[in-house]
Amino acid sequence: MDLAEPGLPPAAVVSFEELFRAQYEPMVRLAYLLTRSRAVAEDLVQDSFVRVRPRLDGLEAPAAYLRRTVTNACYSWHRRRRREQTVPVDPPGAADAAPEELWDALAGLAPKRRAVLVLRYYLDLSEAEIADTLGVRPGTVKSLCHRALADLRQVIEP
Amino acid sequence: MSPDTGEDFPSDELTERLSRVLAERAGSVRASDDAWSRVQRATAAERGRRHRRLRLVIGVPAGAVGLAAAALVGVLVIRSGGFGAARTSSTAFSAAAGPAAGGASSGAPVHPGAFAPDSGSSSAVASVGAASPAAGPARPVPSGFRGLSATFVSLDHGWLLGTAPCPGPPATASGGTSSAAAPSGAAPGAGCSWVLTTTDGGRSWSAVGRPPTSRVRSVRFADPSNGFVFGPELWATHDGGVSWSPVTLPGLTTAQPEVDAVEAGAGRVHAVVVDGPVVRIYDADPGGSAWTAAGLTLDTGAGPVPSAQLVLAGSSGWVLENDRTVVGGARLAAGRWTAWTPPCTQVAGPAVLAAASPTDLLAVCDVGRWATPEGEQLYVSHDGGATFGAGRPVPVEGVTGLAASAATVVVSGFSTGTDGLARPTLELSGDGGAAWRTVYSGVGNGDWADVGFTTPTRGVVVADGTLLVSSDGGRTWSLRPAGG
Repeated sequence: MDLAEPGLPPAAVVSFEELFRAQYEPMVRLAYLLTRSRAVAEDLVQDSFVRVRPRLDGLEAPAAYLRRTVTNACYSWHRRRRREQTVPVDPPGAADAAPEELWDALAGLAPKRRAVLVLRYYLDLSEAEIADTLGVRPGTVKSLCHRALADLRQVIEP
Repeated sequence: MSPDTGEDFPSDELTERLSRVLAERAGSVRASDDAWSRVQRATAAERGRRHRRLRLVIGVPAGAVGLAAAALVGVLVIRSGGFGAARTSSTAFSAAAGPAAGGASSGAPVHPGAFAPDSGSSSAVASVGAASPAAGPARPVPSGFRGLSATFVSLDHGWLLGTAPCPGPPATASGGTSSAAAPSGAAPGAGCSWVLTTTDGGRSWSAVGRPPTSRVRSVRFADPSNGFVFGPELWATHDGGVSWSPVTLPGLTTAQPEVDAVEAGAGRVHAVVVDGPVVRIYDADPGGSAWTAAGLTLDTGAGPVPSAQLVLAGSSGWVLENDRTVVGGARLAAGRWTAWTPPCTQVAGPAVLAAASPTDLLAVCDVGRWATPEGEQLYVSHDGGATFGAGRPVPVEGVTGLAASAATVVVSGFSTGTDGLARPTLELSGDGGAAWRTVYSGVGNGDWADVGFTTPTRGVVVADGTLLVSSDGGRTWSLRPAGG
């Protein structure tokens, strides 16, 4: 199937600035959901754009490639965080929204399980798109999703 | 929103609540106002770093690389980034395009659109599958060709990888392996890859082959027959560039490995690959297809923009890995790669590496780039990278490349003129970095790549799509356009 590229003209060469204008904020939001830190999210997305730029001409789905890059950047960040034992997430109460049990439970999931939930229930991506973003086989997306939801239920419905 | 949402993903009270929470949280996030200018600055600097793959003579037969252990006297640097007031680097440079050029001591200014369309344009994109490496019929350079990367195996014999608009209708299979119209992964209208060759030092060029991918940005040849295009994919030719086939490297663990560097020397070809969380090093016989992984890997570090460089000189080699800052390295000696602590691991910025001999290694580091910017500094080692001398400032605002011969050091980069516009520039030092002078200054967006020396006197660099050549160790440079 075609990977939808919301906000971008299909089958057209997308300039870097067009890609940035269309995707920067959505990607920061995605990265925020995956890292829980606005500052980290902006950093990672900025670096992801840096990384995508030299490859832009050869990409048929730049937004999908960008999404994959951002998701990978968030993984790398999680790895580093584990190594350094630091947790630079936004402090409690910093978010505009009220404290939320589900939001905190999400933070406890393994990065890939958390990502599959964000990609599915926030970005509303299809199975194929999620597989592409996470670099997994399409067949494993649903089982990942089921396991992630089971993890969540364990935390919020003990 | 997505066209196929009915793929029986779980949908219940929990997932509805999850959707709501995620949307609320995401909705509270706004991009900062200066995001675009920050990304512009960072891409300009990164573009420079990625192009620093020194193409110091790739496997020049017999000793062109073996620059004796002459004491390093000179250096050349190319630089990018630091656009200062220029909000949009590429457009700022485009706006500056034209006959103007600041302070060049030689050559015409580089003009990004300088390629005259080839007269036989439309037929130029016909299949090239039948050409033979050395003596095939000269095929015209495709219309709109723009060079990305160059490599030489002797003073005269070289190749230029570039892109040109893909032919409109899908080509029918017409022999060879390079018959695809638009390569897979390319957007309609995106460039098709072309490889040109020259046997007169770049004075004339002919199209020799079309790697059927657009996901390559660099070219290296080990000898007249065996060559590679790469970045992020890796393809090989064993017939001088006519036909190309994908290379499969063993032991990769991620779906999107990126081949960042390939260099050939001392009868071997080496490749450095960013494979998710690790950097892997491989080597092979240039004429064979069996690649062997080195016994060590490097951690890609924490940043999301890992980028590895590879430099060879004789039988010595170095790998340096940047990920915002210098995060790791490896050294090749006696045919084995071992861990190596590269220079500038503590300067809070990335580095670019070059070698003038098996023992003379140079690095230009962007000191404080991710802390307090302090500018570019040149560090020189005379013991193969074990120790480096004190830093010396390099008068550029962003480095795109570094090359060193026995007598000179050349840096490609950017300098801001009195009009406030950043321009690509080549700076040369003949005394190891104490004094510098501008030897070339052009217009264009500064997409320079592959600055290097084929011999102690022959220098090359691809400057905004066109090859520049020096025959005097980098002191003067002249254009070798592929279109004419």
